[in-house]
Amino acid sequence: MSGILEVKNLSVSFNTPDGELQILRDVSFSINKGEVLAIAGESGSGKSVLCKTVMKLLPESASIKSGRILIDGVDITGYSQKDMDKLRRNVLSMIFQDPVAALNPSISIGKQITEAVRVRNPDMKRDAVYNQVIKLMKLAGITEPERWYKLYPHNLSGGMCQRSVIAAALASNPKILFADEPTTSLDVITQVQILDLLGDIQKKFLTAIVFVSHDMGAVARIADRVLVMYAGQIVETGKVEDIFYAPEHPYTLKLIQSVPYFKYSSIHCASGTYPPGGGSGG
Amino acid sequence: MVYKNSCLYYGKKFINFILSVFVLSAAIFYIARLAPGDPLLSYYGSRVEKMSPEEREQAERKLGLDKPVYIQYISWLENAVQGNFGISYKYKTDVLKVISRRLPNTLFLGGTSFLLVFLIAPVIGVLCVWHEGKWPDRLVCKTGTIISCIPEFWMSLVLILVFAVKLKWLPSSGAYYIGREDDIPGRILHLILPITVVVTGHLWYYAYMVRNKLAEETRTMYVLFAKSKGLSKKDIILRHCLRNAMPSYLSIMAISVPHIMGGTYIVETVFSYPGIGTLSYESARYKDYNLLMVLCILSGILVILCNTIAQVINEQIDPRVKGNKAGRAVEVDGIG
Repeated sequence: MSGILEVKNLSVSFNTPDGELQILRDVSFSINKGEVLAIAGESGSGKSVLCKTVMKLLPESASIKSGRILIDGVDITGYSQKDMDKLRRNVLSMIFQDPVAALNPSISIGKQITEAVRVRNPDMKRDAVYNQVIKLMKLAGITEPERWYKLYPHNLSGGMCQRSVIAAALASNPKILFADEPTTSLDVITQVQILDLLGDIQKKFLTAIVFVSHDMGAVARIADRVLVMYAGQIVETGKVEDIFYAPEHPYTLKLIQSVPYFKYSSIHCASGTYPPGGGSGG
Repeated sequence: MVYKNSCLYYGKKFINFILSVFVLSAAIFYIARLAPGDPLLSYYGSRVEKMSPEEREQAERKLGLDKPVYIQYISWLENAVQGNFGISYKYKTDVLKVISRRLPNTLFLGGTSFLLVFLIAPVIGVLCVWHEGKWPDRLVCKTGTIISCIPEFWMSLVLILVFAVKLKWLPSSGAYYIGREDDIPGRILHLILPITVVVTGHLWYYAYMVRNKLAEETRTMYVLFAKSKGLSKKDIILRHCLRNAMPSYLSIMAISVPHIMGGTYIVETVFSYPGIGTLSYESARYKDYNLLMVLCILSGILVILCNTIAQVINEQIDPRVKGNKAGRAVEVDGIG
């Protein structure tokens, strides 16, 4: 069965002053509609580069050496940035490790989500755009969107910033959502909330999610399938149960063992969010 | 609470400003008298050479130049506080009158140049970042470096040689055709060459400033996210990056006002343009103390004022900096 995203024998290199540096080596995988695929591995294993290669967000020093990327059966390997703009508006979205840095510090979050809506629907009326933005914010779990609309990233907590980023990412109604370590910079309770939010989105819109993480706990919570990367290569793929209960590769085992053991396996947290302006400004 | 803080903030800045001007005036007063030359020469002209020692003494007493420097300064300060800055030795009229006749010329030359630099620099900066590392960027950077290395007086002379002497398109000096002071097109023709020199001399530095700041912004995370939202390059550079580069650009431009004005001083002298620049040059040359004092203090006030404005812009405009100063939490509550 052919998936919505197929990556075939992809190799990516960076040009450095010391010569060519291979980051991805012959990577192949596919993801189906509505599936959550986790890419696990330690820092520097090429997980982020893999996402950014598909999104074409890599710096100019990086280049695809070989392989093909197919989205819905269409080869996008040679797409220009202009072609990619269309895809990013309608098919692909990405959320980032550090949500505070991902938002422009001098534009209110409402405006930053508005941009994403407007760029996809340039002819939409002002009111309709505003309503859509409010709807997206609610979808991302922001309980009082009208109040949060005017706030700036520095007014918000990390979790709220990540929800805003997710709201903007959902504006394109993506078929594939790349989540590049979306929970790494958050506290444990917010991590769980964001993971559950991503799970809800996947179920509601049948969005395929590529979930990048080195946190095997998070992977276990959200993923259908897991792809373990080491030094730019895929060392193991499998269903999440297989990976966790019967890891074949020694590196996978090490990753699983890296999760700190805790007596209460599930985290309980209060529902809802803080009102804006509380404490030190969010 | 917030109001009281900002009162204190601006009060402090104001006191600093007054103190700086005071110290500046004392320094100029003393330094001007240290320099060699005869102040009587500008008042009496060549008659000075024929004066007897007694006549000289009398003349010095008349102008108050016989007392020690600090007493001279105190009496100058007393008069200055009352708005009396004395008479110009050379022009024999009130200093302020002499200056007010010349000031509009300089303000017009400097103001237009500043405005042009202020508007063109971001355009060049954006152009460079748009093609970063490609030939337009490299070309602009290289030519800019070369042009900004050319001394202003030399460039003025070359331009005069080409456009006034050889081609005869533009007048070579002055601010208007003789006897036609109210002829506006004529005045504009006279401004073209001086403005060209001032603008090309200063533009590149500020254009690089914008280019480098913008280039730095394009490497941030929020640009990646904006890209992933599907925003075009134009939107990202103009709406996102430029907005974040603006606070530092504005504060640099505030500091640049005295730089550009200082540039006009030199250019005025080369073009014999009747402005503050030529006046300063003359007053220093002829030891016209009273005139020199006021001119230096005016320039000094401009520098100090612009630096203060730059500081205020830096501290006030950026919402992030503002947020750290307690004002933000109050505003947030106000929204809900």
